[in-house]
Amino acid sequence: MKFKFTKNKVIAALFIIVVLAAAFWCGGGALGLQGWSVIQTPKDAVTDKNVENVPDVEDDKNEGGLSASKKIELAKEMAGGTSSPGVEKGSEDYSKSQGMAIDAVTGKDKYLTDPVLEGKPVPVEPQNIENSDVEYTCTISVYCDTILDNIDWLDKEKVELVPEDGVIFPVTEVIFYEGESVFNVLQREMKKARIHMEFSSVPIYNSVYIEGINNLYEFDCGELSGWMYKVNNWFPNYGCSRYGLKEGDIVEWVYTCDLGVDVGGFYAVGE
Amino acid sequence: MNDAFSSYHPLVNFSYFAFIFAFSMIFMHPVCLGISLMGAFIYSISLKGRRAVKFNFVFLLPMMLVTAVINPAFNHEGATILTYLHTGNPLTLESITYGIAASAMLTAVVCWFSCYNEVMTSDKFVYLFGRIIPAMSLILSMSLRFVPKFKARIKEVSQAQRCIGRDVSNGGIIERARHGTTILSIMITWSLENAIETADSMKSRGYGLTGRTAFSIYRMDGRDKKALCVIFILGIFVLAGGISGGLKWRYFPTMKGKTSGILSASIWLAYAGLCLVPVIVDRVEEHQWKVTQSKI
Repeated sequence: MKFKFTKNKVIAALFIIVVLAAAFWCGGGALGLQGWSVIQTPKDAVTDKNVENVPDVEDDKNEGGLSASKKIELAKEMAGGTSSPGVEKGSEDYSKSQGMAIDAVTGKDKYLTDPVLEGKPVPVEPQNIENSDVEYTCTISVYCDTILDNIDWLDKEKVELVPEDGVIFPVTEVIFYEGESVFNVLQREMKKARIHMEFSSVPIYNSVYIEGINNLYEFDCGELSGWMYKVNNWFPNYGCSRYGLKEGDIVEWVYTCDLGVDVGGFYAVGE
Repeated sequence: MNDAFSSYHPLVNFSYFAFIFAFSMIFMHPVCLGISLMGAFIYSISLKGRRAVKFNFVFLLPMMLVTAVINPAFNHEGATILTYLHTGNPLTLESITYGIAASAMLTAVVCWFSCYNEVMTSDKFVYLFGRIIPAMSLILSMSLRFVPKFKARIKEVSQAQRCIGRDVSNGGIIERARHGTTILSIMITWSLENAIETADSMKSRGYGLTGRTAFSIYRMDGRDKKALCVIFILGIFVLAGGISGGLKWRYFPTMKGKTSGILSASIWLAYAGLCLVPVIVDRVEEHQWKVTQSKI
């Protein structure tokens, strides 16, 4: 059968294209705002050096519009090509002496964590930890003041969630029990204060990932946004449920709008 | 068929369902979902009677409950924390209501489609689209008819097999399984062969050739034009109201939206009217029939 272009066929084709385009636009596809998040497979993480070298809480999501490496390039541009002050590459010898099993080929441990900065605690695996009733104290706070500077990027429906001073949970001294991690304390305190917090487990990093606190989620304030944490003013390069707390630790949860540049936790590639 | 709306021109039927499907899938406002769900239930019952009651309550309602439960299990967004799940994530009021809304939408659309299948028979569909997109409309009408046809045929085959003692209800468990696979293989052979035969026979009759006319018994009457006008006026009114923001509703992080106001109320009224067009048409026609009968 020979195909012939008739008027009706052309109209039908145009109509279908218009409907599809409208559906694509209305579905938010055009702006690339929200989409599937893909967890990086271990293979990718090993082959793609770029992807692995960002602060750990940020790098395991690859979202709609921009690829992970594109995002890092963007953040690097913002930071002027260097890491934030105080963010340095870890020491392999030190990490090994602290008992971190680092693979000779990849230069990472089996949960894809780079060596830890000298003088900082190495990650502990939650499944190996024994908890006890011995009480300690630490300080915890949750801030989202970086959003205030980028409020026009924020999802319109969520503007009302941002406190005027950017403090979601003020600096508070809290009790924790021996063997607990940053995540345990965050979870308990958020529960106590009736503040919303959602997390998901990421088996390849053997850690949890904090998706949102107080209904402020990752990617809500631009594609480079999400939650990060620092302990004693250092951004650990591993997940919060692998950070074993010590007496007097100061834990700060901060929301970044550009992959850590604004909060001083950006790790540039190749340093 | 004793449904008056089904006897209308295919264009009327199709534009009605086009509006209904679009609105049911686009509007997430709880009142709209409620209207759509109620409308679907009422029309399916008035269309199919007890069969629809059974389908709606035995299949659709449990499906709705299951899908409503799935959302809060995976989605923990929302400002109102009710309790905590055993995984440690919060269970929020917003995720529950969103789950209910999404499942109501799914149920309403499935229910509307069951009505659509009853009203828009394949001859109507081919009548409407056979000229514009011949191949596509043939494939569409064949694939839309596939499942009901397959079900009817499987009954036929299994009855024939039962006569010779080879149905799934005969013999031990292994025998039954063997009979089942035989029936399935018969079914697949039959369906594939039939699809090719249908396409071939349509082609040999010159289906889709230019200049070829098709016999149809559809005529655009005054009553069809009136119904079409009503459907389009209501549909465009609801659409315009929706675009102008009269049906705004958000589920996250807190539920907020238009719950009152003349504009919203009038849109809901129009939407409910649109959903009930076939039922009203049916009742009016029935009433007229009775009146004329008693006059004679």
